Amino acid sequence: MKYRFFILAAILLLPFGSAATATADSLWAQANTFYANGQYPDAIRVYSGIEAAGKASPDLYFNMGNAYYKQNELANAILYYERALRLSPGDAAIAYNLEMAQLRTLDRIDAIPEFFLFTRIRHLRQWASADGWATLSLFLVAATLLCLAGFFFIRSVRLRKLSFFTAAACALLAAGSVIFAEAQRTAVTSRSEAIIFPAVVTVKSAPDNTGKDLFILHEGAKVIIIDELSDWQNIRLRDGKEGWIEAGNAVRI
Amino acid sequence: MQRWRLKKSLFSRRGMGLFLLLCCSLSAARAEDVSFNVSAPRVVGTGESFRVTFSVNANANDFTPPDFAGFQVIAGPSRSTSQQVQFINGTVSQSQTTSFTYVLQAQQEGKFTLGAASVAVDKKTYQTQPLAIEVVKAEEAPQAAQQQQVQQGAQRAAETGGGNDIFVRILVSKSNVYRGEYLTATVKIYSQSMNIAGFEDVKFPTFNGFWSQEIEAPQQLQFQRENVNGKIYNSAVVRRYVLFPQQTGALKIDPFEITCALQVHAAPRSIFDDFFGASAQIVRKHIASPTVTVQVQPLPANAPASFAGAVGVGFKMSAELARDSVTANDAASAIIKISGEGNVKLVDAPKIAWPPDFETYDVKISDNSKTSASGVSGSKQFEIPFIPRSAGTFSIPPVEFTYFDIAKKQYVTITSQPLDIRVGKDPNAGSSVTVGGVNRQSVRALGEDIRYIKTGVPEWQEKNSLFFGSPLYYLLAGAEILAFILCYLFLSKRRKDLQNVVLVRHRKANKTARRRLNTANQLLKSGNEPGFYEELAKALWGYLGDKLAIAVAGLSRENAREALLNRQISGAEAETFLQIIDECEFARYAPAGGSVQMQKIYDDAIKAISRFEQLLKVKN
Repeated sequence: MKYRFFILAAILLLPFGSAATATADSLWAQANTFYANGQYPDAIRVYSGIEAAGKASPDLYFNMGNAYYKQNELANAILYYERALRLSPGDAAIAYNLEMAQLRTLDRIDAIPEFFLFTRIRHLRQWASADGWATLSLFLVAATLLCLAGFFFIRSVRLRKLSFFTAAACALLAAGSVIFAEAQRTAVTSRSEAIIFPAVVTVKSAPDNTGKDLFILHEGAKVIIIDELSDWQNIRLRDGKEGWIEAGNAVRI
Repeated sequence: MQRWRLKKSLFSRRGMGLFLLLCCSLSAARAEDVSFNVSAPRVVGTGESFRVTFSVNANANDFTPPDFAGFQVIAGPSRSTSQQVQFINGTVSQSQTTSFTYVLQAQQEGKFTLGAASVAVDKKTYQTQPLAIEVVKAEEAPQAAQQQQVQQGAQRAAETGGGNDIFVRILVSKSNVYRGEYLTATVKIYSQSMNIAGFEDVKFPTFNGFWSQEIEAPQQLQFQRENVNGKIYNSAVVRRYVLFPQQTGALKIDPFEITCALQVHAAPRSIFDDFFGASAQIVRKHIASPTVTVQVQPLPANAPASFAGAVGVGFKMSAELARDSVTANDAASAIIKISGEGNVKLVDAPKIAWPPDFETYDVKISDNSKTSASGVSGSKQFEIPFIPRSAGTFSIPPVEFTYFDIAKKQYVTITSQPLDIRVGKDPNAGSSVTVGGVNRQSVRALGEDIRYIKTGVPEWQEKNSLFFGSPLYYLLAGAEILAFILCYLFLSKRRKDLQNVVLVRHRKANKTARRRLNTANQLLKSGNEPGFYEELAKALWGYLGDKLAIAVAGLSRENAREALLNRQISGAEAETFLQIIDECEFARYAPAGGSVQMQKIYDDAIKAISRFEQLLKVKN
């Protein structure tokens, strides 16, 4: 529904798109069968094939996460759940499975307490993806313009008042959804968040091996990459701890 | 084979039926633990006869005596054999001792060594250790020996009344040691005569400042002859301790105190006294050892970090892992073994730099050290159990152990090889999640599983493509705004047109009404009554319609009244106006009033229109 415009455009613009989609659909069914039969490595192989073909979908990432979870590859599972959640932030199943996978990681990272309003706003923002917010913004703009037209052309004073305030509200909401869409897009495209892959990673105080050991992270921990310097990445945890790890230990979501 | 020969020899020697019987059940005729010893007093006086006994705990042949240089053999060898058969809990054990005894006499002062004697047991040759015997100048009356005969008793008693010396002392092996270096302290009692009847009030030293361990505490005192300042004493070890100084400085060892009950022979009052033993008296004597001081030096200051108090000689350390390949969450252990001579008992486990993700538990220590007069030697084993919590290949840095070498007088560090361990993935990690130990949130999802995969065909999108910000998005947004603008322009134009019509009508209402009124006036003058009323009604309706922007066809008395009321015109005014219309309508179909009536209505109509022109102008 959210992507209908896009699908429509894609089909119109790319005559070969539908053929590729058909292949992806058959591979999708095949991988799902593998998963159902417990052949998780095969399922992962086929899902990865779809992904390598340039297709993306929250469902694809979710199923990949599941297959990795069943294979006990925790870091991969969390990575793909996070990717799925990026594309479909409000999906309860993805959030649930991500939590299940995170329960099995060794690091408990408590986020710094945030001003409650920011948390609310963040949760609200994650209710939809960038495209969801974009679509909503188009509808809201349409509603605003409609109400504005009503304000201009309705004779009844009461109705004119009503339509004016509705238009104002819709305009505010449209602006809000554009802001949220932009924020979501930044979150997805900046790819600053990453998942730790090795079983144990020592976080250093400086970007070289002589740096003091600050703390250790385990497989599946989520970090934010805030800087990069040659082969080292400056990371920050949700609880505010910062340090340097060698590039290659963390995979960006 | 050996046993058979032994049985045979027993049989041939004794030839007794009893042995036949015994042979059937003898199971422990021990020919393997052969010991061949020599016993003789260590110190003798010149001219004194003494015995030297060579004994072997087996049936022995081919006894070869040593060279008794310096001594004169008075008698011997005399061979004696004793045999012992024991039944203990139904098992029979047998022991046999053969001894060869010589009686020697020392000729001159000095130190002499009895060489090794040899003996053959079952075609195997055994030798004694060489024995040193010190010969001192005999006192005027020869010192009584243990084996002295009864006849000499009277003579001895007479002498010991004066030179009957007895003392105790504590002998330390070293008087200048490092802190932690072991030394032995021996409490000995010395007595010239053998007339000790018993001991009372024994007070052993407390060894303040030392870690002490008793290594020898004989139940019965074993007296041996010893030369002290050229005099023969019978000495016996009361206690022997191993000491480890724990403090530095001059440490004093408290005196050893004892009260001895001595048997003193009084001068016989009659010849029968001695015979009945009445001349012996018990005298109590309190003796104390002199205080012994041990100088304890501190260890050098430049101790490495891995030094944990070990002091001694020849320490060795080995560190290894019980297994070098385990799975995560599986228990394993590291074993560190330290051996050497010194305070092994007091050694602490060396530190291991564990990888951060290893959990370690209490160290299990097994002490295998022996404490003897030559110090403490042996080994101590530390078993450190650990559980790796995550998979991977880990290299534990080499374990370091430092001790202070007494011989070299410096610290010596021993380093093990690095310990490598491969930790495999926990095979049970998936089935039941019980991550223990690590600070982890409580596992609340036991028995739960992840949600199942999504099977519906998804709406594929291209990777890293977004609708938001795409040209299509802007296109759609632009189209919306464009549509709005177009709509707005269209609608506003139409409304403008519409508003113009209304305004014109409104503005021209008076004019139109007046034109109609003029027509009506002409009809009034010409006396056309129905035409007059019709024209007047049209003028009034038309005026209302134009003013109220209502089409004349849609006008009725009711909606006109309502529209007027909407325009803030009072009900009375509206009624006045509508009354005139009513009168016109009425007169149209029932003309009765004539020209006077017509003129009145005409004037009323003009007044009403003028009035409304004002009212509506004000309101607009």
